Amino acid sequence: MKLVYQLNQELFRVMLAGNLLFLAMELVKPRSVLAYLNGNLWLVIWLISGIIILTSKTPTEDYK
Amino acid sequence: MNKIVYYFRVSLWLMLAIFVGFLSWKIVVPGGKIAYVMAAGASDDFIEQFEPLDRLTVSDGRIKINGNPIYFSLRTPRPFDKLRLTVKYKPAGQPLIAIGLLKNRAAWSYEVKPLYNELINRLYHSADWGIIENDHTLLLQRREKYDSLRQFLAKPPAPTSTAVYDYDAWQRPAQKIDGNFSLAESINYLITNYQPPKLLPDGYYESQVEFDLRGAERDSHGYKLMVSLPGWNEADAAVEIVAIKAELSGKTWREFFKL
Repeated sequence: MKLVYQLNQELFRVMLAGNLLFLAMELVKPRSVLAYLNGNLWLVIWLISGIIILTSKTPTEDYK
Repeated sequence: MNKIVYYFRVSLWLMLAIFVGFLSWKIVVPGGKIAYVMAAGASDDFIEQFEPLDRLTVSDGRIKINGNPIYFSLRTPRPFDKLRLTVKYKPAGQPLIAIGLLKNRAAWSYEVKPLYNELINRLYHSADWGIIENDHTLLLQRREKYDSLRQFLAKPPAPTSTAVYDYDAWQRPAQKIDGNFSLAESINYLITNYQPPKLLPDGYYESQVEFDLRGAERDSHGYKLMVSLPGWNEADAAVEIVAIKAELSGKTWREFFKL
């Protein structure tokens, strides 16, 4: 369970970074990301990942 | 840190970096060449903004045109020098179809090129007319007097027997056949840059048109294009466009940096 939590947290971080990066790219060049990526699907996966983190029991010391 | 978590982290960041690299490549187009397609099941997001909506219907990459003219945009991430459009369509009895590129927004001026011309197609496939093809130029002659285009240009016939269609290099007087769907009996020679379309096995036609994009208008929606149906009337069946392929070429990164 701890492993799933950790993997999910990694996924959440990378997708968050992707969100910010894609937002910046879209502001500079509109449709440059959304032409190749389904933004809704990306956000839904990121949201589910975030919900799983929030609802899971946070591992304490042993995670670090 | 757990090895599995470590490898998972590295692979995720790597995937993100590769995807951002791919997007950047598509924005910059360092090779100077890119193609966009709009077709059933293969549509990308670059040939868009078909309007006005009361003159057409778009579904799954197919456009049915029942008004004249219609406009669309070719959105490009950067400026390009040349555009080659390949259009697959069904004329549905329409004798003339033209496609235009907006050159000057203030004057609303389009550079218009023929996509389909029933009259020239008929002459091209007729046994009564001889054909000389030279690069993009076509010389049709009712009486086969000339052996080459060069010979024709060096010693042209009388202006009354010569018709010109979509051929800017012709500086001599001649008959114009723009908008006319029949040819006078006195016309024995026709010179044009128009290329007759290919008839595909599925009954659709495929035509290619080239535009010089230098000096063309380009805004946040990209280049503006138009499909015009001269002589169209409401009783006609809808012209159907089932595929548009836009091949763009421009400066490579070496040319940009003058390397």
